[in-house]
Amino acid sequence: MGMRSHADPGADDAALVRAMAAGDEAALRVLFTRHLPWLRARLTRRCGDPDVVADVLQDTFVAAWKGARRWRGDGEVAAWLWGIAVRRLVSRLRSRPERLAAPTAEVEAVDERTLSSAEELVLLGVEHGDLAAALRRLSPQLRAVIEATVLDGLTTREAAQLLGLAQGTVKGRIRKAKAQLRQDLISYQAGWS
Amino acid sequence: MSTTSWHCDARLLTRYSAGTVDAVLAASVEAHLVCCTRCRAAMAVHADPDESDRIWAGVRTAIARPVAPWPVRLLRRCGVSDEDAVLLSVSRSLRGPWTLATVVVLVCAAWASFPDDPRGKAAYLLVAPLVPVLGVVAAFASADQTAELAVTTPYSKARLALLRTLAVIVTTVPLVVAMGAVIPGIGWMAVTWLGPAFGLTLTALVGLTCLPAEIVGPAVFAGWTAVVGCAYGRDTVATAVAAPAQLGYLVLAVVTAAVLFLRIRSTHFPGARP
Repeated sequence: MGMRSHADPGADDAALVRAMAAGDEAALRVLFTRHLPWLRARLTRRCGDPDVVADVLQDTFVAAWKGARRWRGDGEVAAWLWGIAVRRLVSRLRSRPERLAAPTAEVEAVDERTLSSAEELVLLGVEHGDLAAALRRLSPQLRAVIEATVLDGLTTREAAQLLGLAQGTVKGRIRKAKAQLRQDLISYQAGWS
Repeated sequence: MSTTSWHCDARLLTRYSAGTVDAVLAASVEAHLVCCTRCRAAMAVHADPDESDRIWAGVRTAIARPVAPWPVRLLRRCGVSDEDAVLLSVSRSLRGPWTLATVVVLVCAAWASFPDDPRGKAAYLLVAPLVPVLGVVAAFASADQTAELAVTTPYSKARLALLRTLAVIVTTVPLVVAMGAVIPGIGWMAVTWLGPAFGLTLTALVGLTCLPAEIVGPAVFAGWTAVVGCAYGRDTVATAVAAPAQLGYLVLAVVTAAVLFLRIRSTHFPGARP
């Protein structure tokens, strides 16, 4: 692609962020090429407007460049980038009343049936075990709230902004979803033995 | 640095990118992507190179941009577009009036704080409304190092005038109000000067759309000096900002605002906004 011909494409992410903190723009370029595709895909799942996603991606890497010095150096750089990106998305959507392709609703009906490949089952088994089945039984509204707070690591306030809901509604749905998951997992275990 | 022994296959990543996996599976993929270098790299085929280049160009521009002075950042927050903010930040119109206002108001404030000297109040009243006016005029004086730029920029002069006025007002008015508020004995005059300031600034703006700054500045200055001089001669300067006078300034402001609006509407320079 020619994109990676700049400085040290083999360096690991942490080294790149340290180089960025020292003002190395080539390091930012490498990090950008490495992380843009998955960040873009993940943001696109949360916001259907490609222009907004592109803006958020730009802001994310600008913020990463400026904040490279503040990176603590522990944990995955990818997780740090996602933390920046999802918060940028939240603040971007805050100013827009119309938002978000509803993240999950339409595709599911099709997918419950196509979920058959062995890899996928393994993936689910390793990552979530019986939790996956329980999650899948949640209503889309409850699942969206769990996704935003547990998986994306947002606060209830940020999740409310991302989903366009009142904060109280988000809290209520989290409570409901937790209760339902707990109930589900207990009955799963019970049916197992 | 993958900690897992398995990876997302190409077909799964394709479906994930297309948004056709359900929420739970997508969550698994996302959790995996965060800690798997190999699968993140495999996502590269799903990126649009043109879009990536555009975003990268945007990132480079943003990190190359120098940090704007705080008044410009404030204006940008208030909804002024980036191009306008940049145009403002290269002109001296923000720094000049700021310094001018600081020095002049400090001197007048010190003077006005002598309790028995009505000349102090008169000086404050004379100077305060003129600070934004002079700021606006200074922004158009030929000494401005961006004069050539302004002339060749496809901007309507009226629009530029409004922009710079906004910048000048944002930087000077709070300062003058704050100064007035801490001076003992000034009282309501610390706020009432805003009436004439508003009218005078708009008058200057209308003037600037057709006359050079070297004429408009002295003309407005002379006019306001005459008003304050008159009030001072009659015994108290406060009449210059009393209720009837304020009504006059309001009328002046409304009329000049209307004229300015019409002038902007009738100016079809490229870049002029309707």
